[in-house]
Amino acid sequence: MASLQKRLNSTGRHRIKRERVTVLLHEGVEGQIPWAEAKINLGNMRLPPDATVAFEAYYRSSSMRFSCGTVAAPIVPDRMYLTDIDQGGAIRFRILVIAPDGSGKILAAADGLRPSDEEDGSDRQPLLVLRERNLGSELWRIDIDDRSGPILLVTNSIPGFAARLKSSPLLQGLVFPHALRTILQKLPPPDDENDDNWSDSWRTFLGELGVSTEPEDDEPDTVHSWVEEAAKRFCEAKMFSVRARESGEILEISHD
Amino acid sequence: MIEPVRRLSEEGMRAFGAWIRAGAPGSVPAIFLSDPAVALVGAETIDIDDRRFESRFAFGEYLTTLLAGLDPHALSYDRGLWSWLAARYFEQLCFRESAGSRKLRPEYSYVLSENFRHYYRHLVRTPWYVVKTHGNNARFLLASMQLTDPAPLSRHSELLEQLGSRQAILGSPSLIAAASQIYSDSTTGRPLPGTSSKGRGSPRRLRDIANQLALTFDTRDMLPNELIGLLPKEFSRWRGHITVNSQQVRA
Repeated sequence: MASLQKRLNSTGRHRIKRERVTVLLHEGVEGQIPWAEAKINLGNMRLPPDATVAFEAYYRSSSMRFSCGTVAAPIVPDRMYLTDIDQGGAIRFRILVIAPDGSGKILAAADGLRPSDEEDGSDRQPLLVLRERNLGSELWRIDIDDRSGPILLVTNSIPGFAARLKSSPLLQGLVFPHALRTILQKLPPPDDENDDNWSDSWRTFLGELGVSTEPEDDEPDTVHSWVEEAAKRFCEAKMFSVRARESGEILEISHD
Repeated sequence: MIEPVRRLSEEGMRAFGAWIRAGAPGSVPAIFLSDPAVALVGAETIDIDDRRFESRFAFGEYLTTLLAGLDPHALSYDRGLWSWLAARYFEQLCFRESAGSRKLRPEYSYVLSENFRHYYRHLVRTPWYVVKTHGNNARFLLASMQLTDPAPLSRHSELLEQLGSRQAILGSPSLIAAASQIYSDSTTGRPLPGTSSKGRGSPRRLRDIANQLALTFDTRDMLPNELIGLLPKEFSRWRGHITVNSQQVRA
């Protein structure tokens, strides 16, 4: 779907590369409204100096916009409070540069931007980012953005759950294989035109598991077999059952 | 009457929801209105009154003024506040039929849901939100189809349902201004006949077309007349009544 949308855009819109934008998301403690800050560099992009710049936060069908001045005189608000964003998932961001002639035409854009993770000390981006959210009664789910890919959302209502998931082979074995299945079922096709196609890193991962990078055909049975093979290889590589047994984590089962 | 803001506690919201699910018998229990253990007293005060509102738009205008002094960053998600206000105005949000029973909507129409996607169906928060965001352009979203409506605050129009289900649409000044021009009588502010349909040229289709246009155009903030000019022929049946002029139509 992401590549189809891209092919539909034939207006010569410039792509704002990710390295020109830095977004930080401050989520605070439960009950506080999250806010974002951003740095935007539009220098040397040959855009009209009086074109307006807009910063948007969005999740699913909710979005908020913040005016950020013009290309020549950008004014990014210090704190952008995300008061009208659905808090139930991974918030993404976009930058828009809009023609100054009143036509509303978008001249340049960056979409599907993730916030920089302040905990990431290394240059290596994790394959699957984990975020804590208010998920109501759910404990976890996979959220997939067409442009930026999957995020593992875990509930923030159980203290320590996210940290436990990172260290517990038992919890990992319960969650990760099914997360992988969900992601593979929605893996977009390769797109040579798009440097940021999120499926590329997942195909690399499949290769490392010894699984083909895509199913042989689109038949449901074929796709299912491919997904199950990947899940099986993944579980074997991670040795969830052995590690869970050896970790001493105990599932108490009552015998009524 | 100046009084402190109140918010239903989590337990209060659960109890309020249970009372609604039980058919909302009798009058609203006083505990939801003033019991300090259930309707928690806030630090702020508001000048609240209990008059009857002749329209949802008038209610929205009143709420915008009433809540202007509260923290705007927190207000949108303040489930306890919105639920308490629903309890406060419940007799207008849920009228009694002649036999005494109530015509109830889903619980989230009164108790603000934890699910953001239900927000636009809340009978108190939504009038506030759309009037605050769109001013007079919100009138058609909140208008009753009946010329004389005995219970205007209890309504949730199909038009609002079609446009409100995507907050990106409901939050867009240009789209709502354009929709107001397309679908409402400029004299009365009421929706035109046929706006509840779901076929070609309907508000639902406007919503879908807007998503496609958003790939190329700034549908959120561009001039409404420019946006209307981009719409496909299926919207032509509405255009006959639109007076195209050079004025910007903004809230």
